[in-house]
Amino acid sequence: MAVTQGTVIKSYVSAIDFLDQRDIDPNIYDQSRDRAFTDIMKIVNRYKPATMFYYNNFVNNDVYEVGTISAVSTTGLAQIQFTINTASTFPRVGDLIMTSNSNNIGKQARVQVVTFGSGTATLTVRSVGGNAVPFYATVGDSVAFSSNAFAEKSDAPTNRRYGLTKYYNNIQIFREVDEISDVQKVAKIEVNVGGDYHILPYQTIQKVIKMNGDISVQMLAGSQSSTLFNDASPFLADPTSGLPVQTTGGLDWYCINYGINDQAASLGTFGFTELDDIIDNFIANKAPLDYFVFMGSRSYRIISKFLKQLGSSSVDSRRLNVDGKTFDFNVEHLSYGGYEFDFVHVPIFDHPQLFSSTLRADVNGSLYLVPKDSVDTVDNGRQARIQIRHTPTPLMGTSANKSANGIITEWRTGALAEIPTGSVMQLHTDWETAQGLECLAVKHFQKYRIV
Amino acid sequence: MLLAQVGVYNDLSPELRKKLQDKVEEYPNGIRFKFHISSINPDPTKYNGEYLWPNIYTLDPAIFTIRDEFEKREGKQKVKQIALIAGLDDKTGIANRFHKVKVEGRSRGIYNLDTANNPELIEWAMYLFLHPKLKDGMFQDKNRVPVIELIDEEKEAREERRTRRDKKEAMDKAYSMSDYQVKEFAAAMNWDTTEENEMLRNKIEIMAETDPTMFNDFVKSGKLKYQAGIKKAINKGILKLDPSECKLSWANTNQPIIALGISQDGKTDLERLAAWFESAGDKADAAWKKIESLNKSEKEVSQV
Repeated sequence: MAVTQGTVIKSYVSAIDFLDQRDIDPNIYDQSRDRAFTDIMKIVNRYKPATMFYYNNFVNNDVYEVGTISAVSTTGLAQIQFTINTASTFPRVGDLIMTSNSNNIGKQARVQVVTFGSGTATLTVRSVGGNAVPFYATVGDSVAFSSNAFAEKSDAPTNRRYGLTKYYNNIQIFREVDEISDVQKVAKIEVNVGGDYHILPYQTIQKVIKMNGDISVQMLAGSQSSTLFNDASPFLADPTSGLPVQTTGGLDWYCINYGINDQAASLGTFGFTELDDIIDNFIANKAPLDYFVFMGSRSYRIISKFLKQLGSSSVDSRRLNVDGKTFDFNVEHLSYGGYEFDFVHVPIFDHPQLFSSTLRADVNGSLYLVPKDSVDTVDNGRQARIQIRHTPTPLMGTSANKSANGIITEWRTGALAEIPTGSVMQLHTDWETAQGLECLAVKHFQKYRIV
Repeated sequence: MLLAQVGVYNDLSPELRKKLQDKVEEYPNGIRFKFHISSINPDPTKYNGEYLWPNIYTLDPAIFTIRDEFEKREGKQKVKQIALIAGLDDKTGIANRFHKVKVEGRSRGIYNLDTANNPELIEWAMYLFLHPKLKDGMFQDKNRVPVIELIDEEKEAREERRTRRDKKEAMDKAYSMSDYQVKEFAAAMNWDTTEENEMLRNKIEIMAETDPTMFNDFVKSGKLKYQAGIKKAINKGILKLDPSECKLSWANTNQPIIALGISQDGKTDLERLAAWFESAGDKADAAWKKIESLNKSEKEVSQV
């Protein structure tokens, strides 16, 4: 550039290419916050190895059954006869029954004769109070076979065989991948990750966040596939290879298919009616008393407002925990009706690209009630209620271009890998894991939508 | 108890209310609904049965709106809010607690309302008749999966009897077909007419047995005549069919009769051509007369 006369001004210097420095903050800021929003460690924090890609568990059946009267032959006598609907052959001679009929309060009757039909049982029962205490039956009455009574020198009652109920879920294979060429791998950029001014670490971190997010979403709201890896003619299959794809059912799937699925009569409202509903549902299933309540912010706000009595026009300050300048509107624990509820806000329910109120309104606006205890086995053992089942990695041995945390395996291939595996100048990184959710005794789990 | 009006809820027009009452009275022995809430058990061993049932299913929405077209009362809106009222606010008297329809897993989706012995349940039946998820209901919302279905035992019996009658009629027709009719039918179905008669009869009887209504309709309709005639003419080398554009031409002159283009509705070429001959007017009638007369004289040369 030729020598000129005049004051050196900014535009003069800026006109010389590459002479100006650039002020670029070298950090990459986590604005998307997907890592924080997809963490479900508050819900599931236990892993358990699986030996197969489908896992089963059995639960015991109820020892009592309730019958519903479908037809009445005689009523209002010391010995009456009626028919109940029953899917099993539960009633037997010697059972002492109580019924929901209001004329039978304080009365019992003994089953004297049972005749089974198709899905029915006709019972002849005799009042324990004798002729002075007639027994009554009307269609729709519930009958409980609550005890038994036998005579002196009696023979054994008919034997009952108790079945088991099987629950079932699948391991799902998750994969993620990253590819970078030789040129871009070494080309420097203006921002860094951990002091490394290359694009690769950033890409890797994003991929791992996405993969972990995918797993979390599936554990929360995955729908179990009907296709299994052992299907010869799979419906859900890779279009190229034709081989089956299977998916795991998540917490939502367990609640809907095996557990309790309920909702407020009027969405957006929560009060004692809904609380009573939740507890009644648990009582109907003989559920334990202590619960985690997992939910998003929308549901949490509604519950907190109700419990702090902020729903009405006035604010009752005695109910607010005012600490200096801090108002605490969050309710963390509730004891009611013999039940204990710990409210846990889990951000994944609020994730706008996964479970927003418009995308998955039912998940976003529901409470997921999970027992806090471990579930007992019938021989007094214990197991966690929710666990992630995972199969061992299928990759063999140890090598410089492979690493694993026991659950997710990462390996690198291509000419740029630690041990080159090809001629093409690129680095190909793979992540693979096989996981599935297992919820035990899910009859005690409840999804309750409130908004 | 009828579906009571409480505040803004269930303020139905007298006509609609009457219709609901009439509907309930159609079932003097009680009303049963089937809830389609099961899912296929993915367990290959089917240990717990073919289907899975939720432990407790709650019907949603519990409160919904309908448009009551019978509403003509002054000052009343056509849009009504429907709910099963469970309680009122102590201070305001406004309904604030609502019943919900819950189906337990052990009932296997059958929801039994014993309205004959328990009149309180009439209200529940009326509510379900208005529900947007009731299949073929008065206010079914076509955008929702119809979870509820009324079990109409009389209707089911009627349909079963009709199916049985259709089946008998179809089987009678199939049994009494002459050898010529069997060939005609096979040609119309685009089957290989050179197969043994016994095999063709078997095919016809299977069809009559598995889909009697379709079989009867087909035999009664004119389609059979046209489909068989076209197929025979193709087999005899009178006509030529280009399936790429469903084009029918005279085989000796290549002169086209009709080109219908690619099928958009899943119907076969024979079905579409038969429909054209049946309804296209003078040009089609003239061509058909010629095909019929040639069919009588020409000998069959090949199979397509």
